[in-house]
Amino acid sequence: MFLRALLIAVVVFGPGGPGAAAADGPPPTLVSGTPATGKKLDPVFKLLEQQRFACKFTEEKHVALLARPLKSSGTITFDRDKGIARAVTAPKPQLVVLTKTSLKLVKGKTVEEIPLSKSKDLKAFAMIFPTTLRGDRAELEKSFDIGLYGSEGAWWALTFSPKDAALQKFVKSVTVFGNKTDVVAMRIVEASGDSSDTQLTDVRRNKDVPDTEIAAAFGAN
Amino acid sequence: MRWRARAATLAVVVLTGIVFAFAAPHFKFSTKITEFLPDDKENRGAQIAALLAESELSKVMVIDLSMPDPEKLAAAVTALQAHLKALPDVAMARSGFTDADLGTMMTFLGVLPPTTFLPASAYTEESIRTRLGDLREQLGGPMGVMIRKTAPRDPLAGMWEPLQALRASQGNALLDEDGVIWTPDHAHAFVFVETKSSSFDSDAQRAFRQVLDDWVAANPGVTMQTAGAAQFAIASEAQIKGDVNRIGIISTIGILVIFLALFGSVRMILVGFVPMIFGSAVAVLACQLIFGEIHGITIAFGTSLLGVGLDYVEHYYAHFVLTPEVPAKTTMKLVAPSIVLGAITTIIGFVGLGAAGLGGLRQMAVFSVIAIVASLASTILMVPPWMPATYKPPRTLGAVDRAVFRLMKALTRRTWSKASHIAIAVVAIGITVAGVRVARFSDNVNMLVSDKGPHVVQDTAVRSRLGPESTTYGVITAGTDEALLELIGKATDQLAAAQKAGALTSFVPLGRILPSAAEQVVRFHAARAALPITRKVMEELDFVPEQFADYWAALNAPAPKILSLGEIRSSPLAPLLAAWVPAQTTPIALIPLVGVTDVAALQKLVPDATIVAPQQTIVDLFRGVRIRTVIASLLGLATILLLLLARYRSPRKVVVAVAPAILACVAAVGTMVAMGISLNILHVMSLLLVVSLGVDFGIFFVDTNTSLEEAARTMVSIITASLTTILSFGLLGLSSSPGLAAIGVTVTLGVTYSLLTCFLMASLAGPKLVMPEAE
Repeated sequence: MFLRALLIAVVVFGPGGPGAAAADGPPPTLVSGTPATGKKLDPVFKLLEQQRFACKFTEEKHVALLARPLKSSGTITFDRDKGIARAVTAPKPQLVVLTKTSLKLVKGKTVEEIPLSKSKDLKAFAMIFPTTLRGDRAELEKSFDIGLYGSEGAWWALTFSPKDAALQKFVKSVTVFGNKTDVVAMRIVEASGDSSDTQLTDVRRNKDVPDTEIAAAFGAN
Repeated sequence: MRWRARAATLAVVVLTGIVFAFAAPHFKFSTKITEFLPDDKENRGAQIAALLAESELSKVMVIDLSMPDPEKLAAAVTALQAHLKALPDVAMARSGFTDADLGTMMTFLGVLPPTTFLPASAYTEESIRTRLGDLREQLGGPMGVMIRKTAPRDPLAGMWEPLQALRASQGNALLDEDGVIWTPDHAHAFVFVETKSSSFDSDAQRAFRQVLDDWVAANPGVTMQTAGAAQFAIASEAQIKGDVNRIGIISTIGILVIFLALFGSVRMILVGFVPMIFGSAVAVLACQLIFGEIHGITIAFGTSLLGVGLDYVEHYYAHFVLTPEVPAKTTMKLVAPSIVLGAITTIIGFVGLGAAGLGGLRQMAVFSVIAIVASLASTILMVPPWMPATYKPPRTLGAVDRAVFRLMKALTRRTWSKASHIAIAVVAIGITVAGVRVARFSDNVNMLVSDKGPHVVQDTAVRSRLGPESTTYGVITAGTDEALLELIGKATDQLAAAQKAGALTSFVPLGRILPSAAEQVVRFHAARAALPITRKVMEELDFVPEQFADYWAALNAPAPKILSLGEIRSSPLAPLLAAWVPAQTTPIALIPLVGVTDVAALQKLVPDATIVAPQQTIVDLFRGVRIRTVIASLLGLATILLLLLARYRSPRKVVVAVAPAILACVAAVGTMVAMGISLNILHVMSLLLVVSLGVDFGIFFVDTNTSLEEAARTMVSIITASLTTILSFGLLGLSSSPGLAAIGVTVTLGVTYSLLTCFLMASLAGPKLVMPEAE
């Protein structure tokens, strides 16, 4: 269950990569030096707090076993009450819906619903992105060391390092990149050295995300 | 001389009492249901039924906990597991699989060759391309991080095969979350526990139940229900104890009242109980010595047999009391041949019971035979020396005797014509034929337990929450573990084909989890032969072959490391497999099958496994036992007839001696058929007992009718014996145990009809009833 939660979280997170941000991406030296911690993170978390959130994403996963990165793209939809839905449209359609209690995978005609683990740490990991969008720093700090590079007025990066040894065996760090109020990218670095870089575009928030879109993304959820 | 006999009697009784007192603390009682499964060693169905009854499937108790808050419920499940694991009698306590369990499992699978679980058919180019394509997709999907760790050594995902097979077998009825098994609504969580003590050890199970009850009491808010054989053992024991107490107390009081009313002597009452108590004590000691334990149902049956044990004393008493002028020893000489003959015919009946092929009934037969022999011996040897030298019979017995005499006189006054005899015989035969034709037989017996009661309700409720139960199994047995694994592989393939053909809905694909050694070698070489293709496909799909160095190294080993069944049994996979490949002396595999509608049709498609529907198998087995019992009964009856013919050398006397028994059986069956009772194996066996008892009456009747007065005295003894027998078996008929109730009802009806038939026979005999000694 832990592994499922972990890996599902990775997929839900997906987005990443400042490298993909090109000219309007974060400065290369953003994640360097000593990060801010604790209450100093609150202004960023305050900015991130959303009722609804929707965007497109493109992802590149660099796996040492493969000669070329795996690329995928799709949409991410967040609703504070319902959870988060990640719909991959290319190369193959796949939908992942994560709520506080379960994860639903839809691939072709196959639907698999997996209840989330009762382990608080692992659940927290699976919920990093949605919890970040809720602005709930205290909840995240139960399972991760969180550091802030930059500040809420310009480019910033939040890094999440798992506290749990079991988690550390798989994931080294998760970094969420943003510019002022916008989340623009994410990077996951696995313990193996593989990494996923995801870039978010066409970000819309709150009232810009209509009920119909939420309903379409979450369905019965 | 008289005092010497009394001293000897006392010595025997006291000695028996001392031995019994010393042995009693070591008595082991059992309520094993398996004792009532046919134990036909030649019958594969019987072997399988016994194996299923003793398998892991029947040993595990399911504890169902519920409370409104799932978080608290999960904590309660964890706490209960810890509590149970600390108990010395607990062999296993678990719920779901924790991360740690999964990690251990992955570690175990991770050191096996990557070819262990992948069939040789997976090494075609097409299959390799599909598998590597899946790997590529998975690396970018939810399982990517995990697959990434194992892929360099296992690119074709062989190690996931057993886990996928196990997961598929679990279905969707339950959730396994962080070490806790839940119902989908999180209202119930389950703990599975197995005690070191047998599920049928009611003492141990009662103690364990108390531990559970105490734990629930200490955890307010938690509601507990359970399912498993243990609660049936406890309920059976309580039920049998209740029956024994009720039968013992009420029948003892009833017998005391009858004795007091008829014989009017406290001494005779006390002495009268000696044979049956002595017989029971000797039988209990002997059974403990022979079988190592005594089944509860034997005790219950034995308690009701006390009434039968009294028959001999009653027959003797009736003659002693009504002819007080004749010395006690002389009276015994007069009646002894009858009661010995009666005992022998009863023993013949019980031998038939023992030959029925059920361990439990065999023990009952042994108990009964020993009890009868001991009762008989003590009646003949111990009772006469203690008879009062001067005795004045109470008026009651005299009144009864006179009433019976008048009745007998009236009944025998008229001579029935030959035509009447023939007409009655034709009617009896007609009723018998009609009864047998109308009679419904049921071999679906639940001999020990009632299907009502809280333990049954709980068991049903808990099992319903666990999802659909397999009612059919593919059973495989073999001489060795390796042979077993080979057959499992073949049967799994056959079942997969049968599933495609729609002969079943699903099954546990054991072959995917348990490959034989030979199969593992074949797979290894198939993988090695496919190395160039694997590398080529990898390159085509953008993989970097050099990253899979561990895989190439594993395939370049001189030979694969073979995974044996023994290793699996001691591996982290063991808890998942224990129910399907139990560690028994005979290597056996039980493959649960779901959705089988036609067992015979499936059997044709799966020749390497025996397809068994345990309930149906048991029904079939009991049908066989019933037929054997009927044959044994007929043989017993024939033996009794020959014995009587040898004894009396008069067909007429033999007919009179056996007629009450046979007519009573016919009437008892007719009554039960009219009452809509489906006859089962226990009714058949009870009829055997009716024959034995009825023949006793017939023998008493034939042996002591040199005058109408003596015939009346014999009838008094038969009435007395019938009353005490009806009293004890009638009480047995009220038992909530269907098995005991069946015996009780049949014997009560049979004995009642035997008594009535004795009067009918007297009437039919007419004046010829009185047979001079010379005849």
